[in-house]
Amino acid sequence: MTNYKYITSLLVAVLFSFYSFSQCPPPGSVMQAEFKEGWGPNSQSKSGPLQAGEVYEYTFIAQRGLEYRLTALGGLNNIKVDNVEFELFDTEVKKVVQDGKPVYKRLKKVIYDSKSDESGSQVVFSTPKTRKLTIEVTVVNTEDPTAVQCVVVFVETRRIAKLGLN
Amino acid sequence: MKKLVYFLSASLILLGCQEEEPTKQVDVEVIDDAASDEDLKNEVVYAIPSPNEQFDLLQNLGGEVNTLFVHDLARLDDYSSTKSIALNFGIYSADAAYMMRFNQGKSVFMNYVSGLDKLGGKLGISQVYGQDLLTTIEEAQDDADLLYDISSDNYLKVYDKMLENEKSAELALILAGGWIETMHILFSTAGDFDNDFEIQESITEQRYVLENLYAFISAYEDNEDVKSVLGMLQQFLDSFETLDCQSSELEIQKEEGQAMVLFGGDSCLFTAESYNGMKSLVQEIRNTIID
Repeated sequence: MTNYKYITSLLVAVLFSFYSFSQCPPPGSVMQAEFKEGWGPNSQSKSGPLQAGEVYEYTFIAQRGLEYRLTALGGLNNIKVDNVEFELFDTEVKKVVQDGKPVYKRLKKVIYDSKSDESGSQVVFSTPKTRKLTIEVTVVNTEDPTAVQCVVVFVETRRIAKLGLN
Repeated sequence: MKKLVYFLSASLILLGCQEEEPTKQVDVEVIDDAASDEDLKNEVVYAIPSPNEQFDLLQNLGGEVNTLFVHDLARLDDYSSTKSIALNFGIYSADAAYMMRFNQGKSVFMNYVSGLDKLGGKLGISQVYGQDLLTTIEEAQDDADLLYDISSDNYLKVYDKMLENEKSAELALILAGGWIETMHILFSTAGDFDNDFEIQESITEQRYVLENLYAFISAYEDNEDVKSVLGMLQQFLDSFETLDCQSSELEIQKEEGQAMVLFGGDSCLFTAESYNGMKSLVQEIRNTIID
């Protein structure tokens, strides 16, 4: 909830009426990393235009030994977390039966779904080995359903402290 | 629909078995259903970690600096075609990130900034390396962390500047050059096969970075320079196909008040042959770029 308040306070200060939506603002001008808590901006943050109802798929690399915090935002004049829903997923190989025969399929596995999260704004995770993950962002609330919105995926990282004696 | 051959551990194949089975590997064909609905997406965006973030990981894995690994800054004037300038800009950018991550100091950074300013001018992005940056570096004195942050920040500025100036093809070449130099430094630091398992394992994970890099660059394949670089990168994709890979179910661990931790998934290993093969390929392709 603290994080949510933090993002909201940041976004209150950021009004984008001066932007032409042919070009969305870079992620760093929409959000700042929370340095006080050890987070730093990650180069994989992205922004781009999106029509309401369309899906924006973003694939990135989560490196081993780092903690990641992802925030998805969207909007027309006011870019905020309330305007988007997002899912974070990886893939895994599963044995399934197809046409009566067992086959091995690489399937999506949802790691986080903002719809089933009360704050619905951020996901924090770490991974002991590097993996390729995907986010699907959809614009849900919009002032003008026909207008192109801006979507921002803001990525923050921080090192995980190594345990044990050196 | 993409099909891949993977080794699955016995625990996955013998689903439903309660008792632990001895480890057994079976070569199976995997149908990639996760990628099958790609055409339905309105837009797919691919991102890769910056060289700074890659060397952050290298440092975390215990890698140590060797200034002989980097490309000679005295050769800046050797490059005249857009392709060679952009690829070498990527190489020198990765070297600068490496040197800054491993605390090589202000004067080394200044040398890279001057060199990149010169090359960047030929690509139309010299403003990023102007007087303001030199002043910022000067003010940072010998604060290693601050110099590293300036170097990271600068990478983002170059990235944004090139997109803003509609120089995406040149950006694609820079990213490719940066990735090849990163691979060169990773292999050089890892040394011989089995010398440093952790760094070696992190090199196997570079296949994810390469897949995203290739996908990003493919958007500009109409450009002849980009097309030829895609050919280089394809050789690395083929080389990664020779690794021994296993796949296990993804496990999400979540404890109250803690961040999620993701376990499982794919992991690959080198054999001596595949390791030495890829190491040679990196050297061969890097030499074609810098010579």
